[in-house]
Amino acid sequence: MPQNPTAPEGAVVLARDVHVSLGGQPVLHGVSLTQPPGTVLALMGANGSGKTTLVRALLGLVPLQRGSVELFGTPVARFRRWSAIGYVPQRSSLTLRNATVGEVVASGRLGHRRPFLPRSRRDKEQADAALERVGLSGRQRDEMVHLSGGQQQRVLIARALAAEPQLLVMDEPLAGVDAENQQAIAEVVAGLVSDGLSATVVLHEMGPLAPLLSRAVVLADGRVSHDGPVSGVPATPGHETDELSPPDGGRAFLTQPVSPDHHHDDRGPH
Amino acid sequence: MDLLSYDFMQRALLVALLTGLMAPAIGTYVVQRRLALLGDGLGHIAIAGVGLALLTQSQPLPTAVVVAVLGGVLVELLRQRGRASGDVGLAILFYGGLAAGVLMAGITGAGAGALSQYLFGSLTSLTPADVVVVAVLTAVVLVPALGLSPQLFAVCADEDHARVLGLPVRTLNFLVVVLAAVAVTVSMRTVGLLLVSALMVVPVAASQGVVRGFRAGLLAAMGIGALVAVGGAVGSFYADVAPGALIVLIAIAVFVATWPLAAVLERRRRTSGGA
Repeated sequence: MPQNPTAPEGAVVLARDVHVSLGGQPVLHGVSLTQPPGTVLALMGANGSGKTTLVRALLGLVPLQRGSVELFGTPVARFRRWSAIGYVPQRSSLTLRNATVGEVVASGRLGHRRPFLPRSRRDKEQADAALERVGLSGRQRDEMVHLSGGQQQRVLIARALAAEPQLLVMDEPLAGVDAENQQAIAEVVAGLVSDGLSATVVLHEMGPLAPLLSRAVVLADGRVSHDGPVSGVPATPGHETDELSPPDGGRAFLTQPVSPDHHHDDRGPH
Repeated sequence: MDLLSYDFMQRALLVALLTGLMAPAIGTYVVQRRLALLGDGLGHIAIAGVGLALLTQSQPLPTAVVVAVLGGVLVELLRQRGRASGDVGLAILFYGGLAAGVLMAGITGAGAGALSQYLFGSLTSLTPADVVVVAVLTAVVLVPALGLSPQLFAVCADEDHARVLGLPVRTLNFLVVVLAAVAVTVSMRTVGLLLVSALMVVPVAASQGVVRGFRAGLLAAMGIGALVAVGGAVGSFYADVAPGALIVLIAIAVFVATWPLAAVLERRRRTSGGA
């Protein structure tokens, strides 16, 4: 098992021996991985395997008990070039009531903006371009609550793209998304990858993203059980049920309180 | 209007207008963070500040602002440390504040009666100095609440994403709570500390049904807040009732009145918006 990969020059993400506990419960036990630029890395595993926690650890959103994470060669604690990263969290982590599509996508530019100053022309252009990229041009005035789950997911991708990132980090972008929108998302990601973007994607199933994946890291109980080509990914149990798909097509989470634990692989509070 | 010929009424209306604008402005973020009852808790803590001011014979408003802000910082620290301990911690803090306020007011011999103008509002006893303090504190709340609205929106809507944007999320979270503490305390003379949360929350709820978008909702909530606060102040003058109670009941009436309108707008958007 490759637990201590040597650092290649210019890795966009490098994790060494990452240990994370949430609420006193150990979730990750020494995870190491490295992602070269221009590649698409899938983080896979069954529910509760720790894949969401891993992606949050890679972004510095949960503290490491042991080990280290580097983004673009800088330790995550000292990393400041956040506009290089476009983060697409799980939709269930949002609390948007009547925000419009335009407002959500515009917030992706905040890393470039100064406090108290209005949006620049470039901020507006990049937000519009990002929305066009996901095929939702002209929907700026629509409220998020009126979009389908798949459309909301595309808006969140546009928000990440508005920052003009070099690395896209997506957490379960296909969860609760209908087949048509899954295809649309895959096409967007394919276009971005051909433009040279790197992507780290937490996936429950590869779905239409499969042909884009350069490599897969599979977690089982907080450890790496597979790190290599996608073709070698073993079948994992628990794929047929998807607990993240609400029966109403994804509208409920906008109006009902969502437990903040929900996006931690059900491992308890952080 | 003859009520404007009274100096005390001019002051009352001005303060009602300012608090009506300010409370929903910060309330928008508080509601979005699902902390609708935060204002209530901060009001309880502010009562300790009023009690302390009575005990030390200092100015109630500045003392209560300081105590409520310190309480707000403590609340946010508890929240950031995790929900389990935070819940009970908040309850202890809130009721401790109320009890301490009543106790300190009692020690001065004034009793709970002296507290009542802060608990239920008393617009007509404002001094010119009070008005100046309220005006300054309104600016202190409104400048960041409006000027930093994209940043505060991002943090309240999606904290993790805001962190990955590189925003100072911790600082912005503290800012929301501190501004809420200031807004609560400033509003104590208008609606009273027991009802202040209603002025932060109800106009926000009313605006969300009828306007589209976060920023439009923020501005509409401020408009509704100003309208009900001034309307309630005027009404209380003629009807000779407590302004706080009337303001809150008018706000709730506006909220209820927006329901049919919201339903019509919602249906029209769904049919015209499409997928």
